Amino acid sequence: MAEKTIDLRVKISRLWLDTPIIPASGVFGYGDELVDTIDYRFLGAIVTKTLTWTETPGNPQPRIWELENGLMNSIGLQNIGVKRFCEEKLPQLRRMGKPVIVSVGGWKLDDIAKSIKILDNQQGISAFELNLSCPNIKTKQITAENSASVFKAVKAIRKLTRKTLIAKLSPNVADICETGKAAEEAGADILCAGNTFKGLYYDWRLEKFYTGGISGSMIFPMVCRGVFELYKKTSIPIIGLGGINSEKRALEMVFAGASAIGIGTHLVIMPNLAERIYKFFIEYLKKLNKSRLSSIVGMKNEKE
Amino acid sequence: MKQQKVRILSKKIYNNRYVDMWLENRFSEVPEPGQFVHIFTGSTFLRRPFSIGTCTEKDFRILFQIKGAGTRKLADMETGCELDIIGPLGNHFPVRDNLNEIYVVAGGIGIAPLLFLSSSLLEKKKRFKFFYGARTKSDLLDFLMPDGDYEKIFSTDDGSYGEKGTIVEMLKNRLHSKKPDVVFSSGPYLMLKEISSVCSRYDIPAYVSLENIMFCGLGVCQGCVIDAKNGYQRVCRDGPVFNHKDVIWQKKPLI
Repeated sequence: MAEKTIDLRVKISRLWLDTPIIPASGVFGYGDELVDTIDYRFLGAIVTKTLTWTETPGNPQPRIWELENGLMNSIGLQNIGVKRFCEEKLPQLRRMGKPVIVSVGGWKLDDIAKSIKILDNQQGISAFELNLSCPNIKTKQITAENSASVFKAVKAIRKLTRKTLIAKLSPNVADICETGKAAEEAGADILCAGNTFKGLYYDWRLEKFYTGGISGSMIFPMVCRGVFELYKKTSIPIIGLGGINSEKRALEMVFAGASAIGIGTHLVIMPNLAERIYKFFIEYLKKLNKSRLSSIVGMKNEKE
Repeated sequence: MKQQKVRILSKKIYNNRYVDMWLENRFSEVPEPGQFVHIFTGSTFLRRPFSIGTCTEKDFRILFQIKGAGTRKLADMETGCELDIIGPLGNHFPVRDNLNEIYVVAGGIGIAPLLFLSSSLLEKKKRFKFFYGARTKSDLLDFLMPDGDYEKIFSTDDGSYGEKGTIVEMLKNRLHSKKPDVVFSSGPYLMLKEISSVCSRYDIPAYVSLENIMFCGLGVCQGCVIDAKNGYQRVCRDGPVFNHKDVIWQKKPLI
């Protein structure tokens, strides 16, 4: 039997990704900083750090706490703001020949809406990721932690753009299917599960507690479970993101129901991770004599 | 600054706690004094940054003190083993052509990048004095300093080697008589903070190499920022070498 040509490009909703492996927002800068370190050919898209309406200085130090199998961070959405992004960063990103996913977040829904209006008129943006779940924002945050607020936020943003809309769901909920369904009903094209988990760290040297978001391999089982359940109960594509540190974990996320996977913390620690996962996916599909990843999405899971 | 595997070429341990390790130079760029490599040791979640302490075409050195799980694991690795590194990263000491009299000031294991710097100054035929202080004699690795025509000033807190006192005091004593064009320093945070206040008082330009807990090392995560006059600055990308005047010094060390 002739060997099938394997094509790892994936189409999720209306969004074409060069590969099913995308960087997580936040550890990828504005998108073009890592060209010397990471081989972008193995990435499906460029994902920017979350942009806010105005420039955000971020949280005071310390911002990083190392754990045994993970990391707690409290960066506080430090970024240059939407306007400077459009002027200073977007032109370079357009020239990189990859889909660009812009992550947008903030403190007030009005501000997010203003950001989306500006960004929606720009050339070279393929999709928006709506970051409704940054755990490190202390003031009145738009949270994606109950279905009513998720519905309201996604609905409001949906009206403003025809671009692909990814709802980045918070894992800090009792049932991620509730917020997932709310996002779907409000018109999101893709669900992204998820984000960092709320955590607490005691610093013995500075003698105080710090709060932050937990990432890294320790969160993988919880994230994968979220993807597993979302796949059963929702009908739009899912990006599985959180704690993937190896080829096998990446594939498990696909088995659970993810159409694409995100790597963040471990991509930065191991810049060759995307390439390793890419090659492993190819090998695995070869073994099953399948030509596309879509044929194994949710393979070990059942829709309800 | 590609991720790459490099072989450990040699390793020496001094006084059970200082490790002088030489690694294969497979850098795609030529490192400058002050830059660092981010090393995956396998025993801690994050990589660990190490200053490049001397570099030749074939190899380069890292010099570190065994402190926690990461440095312990690294110290136990044998010659011939491969290490996963990313580098060279960060900025470097600004050695401009118009500098004629340079003071290099090292505190403890902070000497690592300054070994590289002094070799480079010797190559460039720059005139410099090397101040090197530590707690006690067994913490001074003066035998690692490059051979050459420059003045060495040593001090220990207990007077067991060189002059008795801190290296900042030694620096101050000499500033009374003559001012250098610049001070380049690396060492404990509170020592660098003192260097900064001394250099402000005598109005001498100074550059200090800072440390912080580091995640990406690549300038993207914003995790290792310090407070600076012009807003948060990343130790990994805007530093590790900072103009002392730009730093907003804190009461307690960063790490």
